[in-house]
Amino acid sequence: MSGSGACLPGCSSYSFFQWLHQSPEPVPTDLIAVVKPVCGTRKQHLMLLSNVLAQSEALMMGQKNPSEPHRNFTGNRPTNVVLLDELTPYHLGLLLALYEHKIFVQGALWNINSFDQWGVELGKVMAKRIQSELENKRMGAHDSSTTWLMKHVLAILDRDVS
Amino acid sequence: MSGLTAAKEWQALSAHYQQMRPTSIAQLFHDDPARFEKFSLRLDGFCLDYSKNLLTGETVGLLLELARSRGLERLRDEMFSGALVNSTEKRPALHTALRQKNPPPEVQKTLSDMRVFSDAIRSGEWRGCGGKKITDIVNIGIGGSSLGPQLVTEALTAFHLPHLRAHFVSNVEASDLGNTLKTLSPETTVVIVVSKTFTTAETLQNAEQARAWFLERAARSDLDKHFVAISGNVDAARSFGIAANNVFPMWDWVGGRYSVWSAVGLTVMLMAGAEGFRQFLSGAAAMDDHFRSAPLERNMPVLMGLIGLWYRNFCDMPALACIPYHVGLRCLPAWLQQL
Repeated sequence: MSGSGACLPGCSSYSFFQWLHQSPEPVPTDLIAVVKPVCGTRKQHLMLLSNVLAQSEALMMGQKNPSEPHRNFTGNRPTNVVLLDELTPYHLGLLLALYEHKIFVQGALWNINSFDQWGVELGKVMAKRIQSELENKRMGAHDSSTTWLMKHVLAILDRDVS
Repeated sequence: MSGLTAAKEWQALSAHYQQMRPTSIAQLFHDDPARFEKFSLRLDGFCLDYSKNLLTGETVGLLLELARSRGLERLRDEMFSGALVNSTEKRPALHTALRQKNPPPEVQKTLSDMRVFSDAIRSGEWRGCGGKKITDIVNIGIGGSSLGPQLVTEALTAFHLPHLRAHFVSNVEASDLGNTLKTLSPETTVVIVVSKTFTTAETLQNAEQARAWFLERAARSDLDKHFVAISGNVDAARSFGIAANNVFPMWDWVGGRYSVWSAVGLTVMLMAGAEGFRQFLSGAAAMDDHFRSAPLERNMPVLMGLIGLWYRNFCDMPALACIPYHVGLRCLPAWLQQL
């Protein structure tokens, strides 16, 4: 997925909304909501949806407050709003395939292969080596940080055994 | 990226950003009463409102010129047609074939085998070693072998049967599996081990632990009723103790992160039913059709991808937040991050 992502289940009162509203660099945000609830009261569900719509509007409009910088909201922060009529298997299929293809589009433009995963290999290879060194208590050549961390792990584990 | 930033379409977008910079999104709404209609799309009860972005018709036009100059339509068509778009592994990426209306024969056969198994578990016809019905499914996998099925299963809670629960174990940290198993009885549990190669270290570690837990109270011959594999390596699954009939295939042409549409979605089918799984596939097929046939300027994935590129490369906004307002979509962000 593109860039670094903050990906969190939403509700307006989470503190990360402070970051979305007031971070130095705006963070484009996808807000995803389901229009028809499966349970709960209408009032409860309207409360939820109001939060989605309000955040999208508030992130764009902001609120200027030059005399109190901590209450200043610059606005002009972009959002996409994705609304599913209901959370059915069909709608879920649409949503997931949308994001799959979005990633493909970006890969195509950036000339990134969206289908391989070589990036996970190096860590795996190193982990195997370190695991075998820890099991055999025979340290190979590492930087001083890694060497200390390995020794520390063994010292604590061995202390608990004895 | 080589050549990309030197392209004239790229340079045009750079220049365009300098024009757009002093503008605000609110001002764009003020200037154009028809803005929402222009920058929103609907498809089968699904709505994408991308009007609250820093863009105009000109921005979209320039982004589309860039996309066309990079051969986006050709690359898209190559993916759908099974070309080796996974160039470093010389493989196609045909997750879209899993959900098309008339899938290839091997996909049809797998779906039908999954349905037989799933129906038997759901109806209670499939009995565990004590003669009891199955009440719990434990999906052991990592990455796409866990996040996809977990996301979809949780999102479809409203469609679950009351007597069946699903659990997802992916972490090699022992309390992940331990906390799950301590609430379960081996006699009423089915364990699904998901690993394409059946050599994934974390998954095999957890699978071996789960088998040891099972064999404390049951016989090795009972594994047939309780252990299932989703794997391309039938031999390894069999030597682990899983009956050949209980092995559902994974194919080279489906990447792990795109695999929930394959047999990796077995837990989804068990929990939401074969019909629910069919509808899930058909929703994705509808998006595939849209992606393949809608003009680029009315194409949801194309526009979302391009808007992301616009911010990342031209507007100096490298981050992205994705916030689902539904507890059932709790795992969507994690699933997105592994795409």
